[in-house]
Amino acid sequence: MSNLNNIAKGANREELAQRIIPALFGIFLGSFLLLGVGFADSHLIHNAAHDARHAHSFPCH
Amino acid sequence: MRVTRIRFPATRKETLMFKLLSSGLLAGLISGCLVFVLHLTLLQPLITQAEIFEEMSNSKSSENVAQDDKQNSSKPDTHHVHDGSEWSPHDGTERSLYTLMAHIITAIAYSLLLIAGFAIYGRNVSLLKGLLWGGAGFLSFSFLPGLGLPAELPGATRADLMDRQLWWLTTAFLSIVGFSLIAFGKANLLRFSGVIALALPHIYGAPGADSAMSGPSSPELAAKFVMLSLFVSAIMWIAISSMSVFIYMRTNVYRGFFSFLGR
Repeated sequence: MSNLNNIAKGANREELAQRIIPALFGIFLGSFLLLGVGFADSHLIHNAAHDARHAHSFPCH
Repeated sequence: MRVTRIRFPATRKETLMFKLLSSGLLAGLISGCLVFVLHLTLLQPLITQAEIFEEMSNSKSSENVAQDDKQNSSKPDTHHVHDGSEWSPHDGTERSLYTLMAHIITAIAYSLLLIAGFAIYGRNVSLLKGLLWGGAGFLSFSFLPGLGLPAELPGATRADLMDRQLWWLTTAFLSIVGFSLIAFGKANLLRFSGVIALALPHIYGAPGADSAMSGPSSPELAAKFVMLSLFVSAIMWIAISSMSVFIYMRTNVYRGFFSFLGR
């Protein structure tokens, strides 16, 4: 079992390059959504997300 | 007991992207709905009350509109829900639906960031460890930015918006860097610089921290809002991190929960 784990660990290291692309995309998309809903300086978005912005202590007004 | 699963390497890249996005969406959707229920029961009554205070002070100041006409024109975007000049959702169901949407998008954003962290980490994350990751998320995105810029009720006046947004984002980013260095830094120097990264924005100080905060609502109402919004954030991060572990790691919910209890 430990042998299997070691193989899996080694494989994980090699796969870092493969994992990094989806991870970076996830970070990009997550940041985009967060900035959009919490920080965008658009009156439309601000008014729609107003109460949620207050709830999440995003700077508002 | 740890279960090691071996996947087909050829499809790994594709499935990881799909797994990351789908589990982020699902974990965020569930957590966002939970946050919305808490928002309606705990936070919305305080926001509604604050808006009554705000309107009272607005109507007071509009009586002196001739006097501070200049003041009003110098800051034209005291943009607010009740402005009437621009679109805003109608009070009631419509407004709640937009709040629900905003909470779901926020929770999806946080879930995606958390799961992207899991993906970089690359190893299995147990429920207990996942909750630790969630705790770091709560501290980085809710507690530590809130330390300098506590949650505000509508109508509260603070420093310049751009300055506060910049400080908020910088604090969140440096906190994540700090926690990552403390958790994964191999050398003591790296861990120590993690502590520095955590402390730096607070040593620098939040914009407007040295000036008195003011607002039309009572201090008691504002204090209650800060406490309750932190509570809601904490519940949100517990939901996001546990859902992310269950969905992204494909942990069996019951096994994960019982192994958590068994510790």
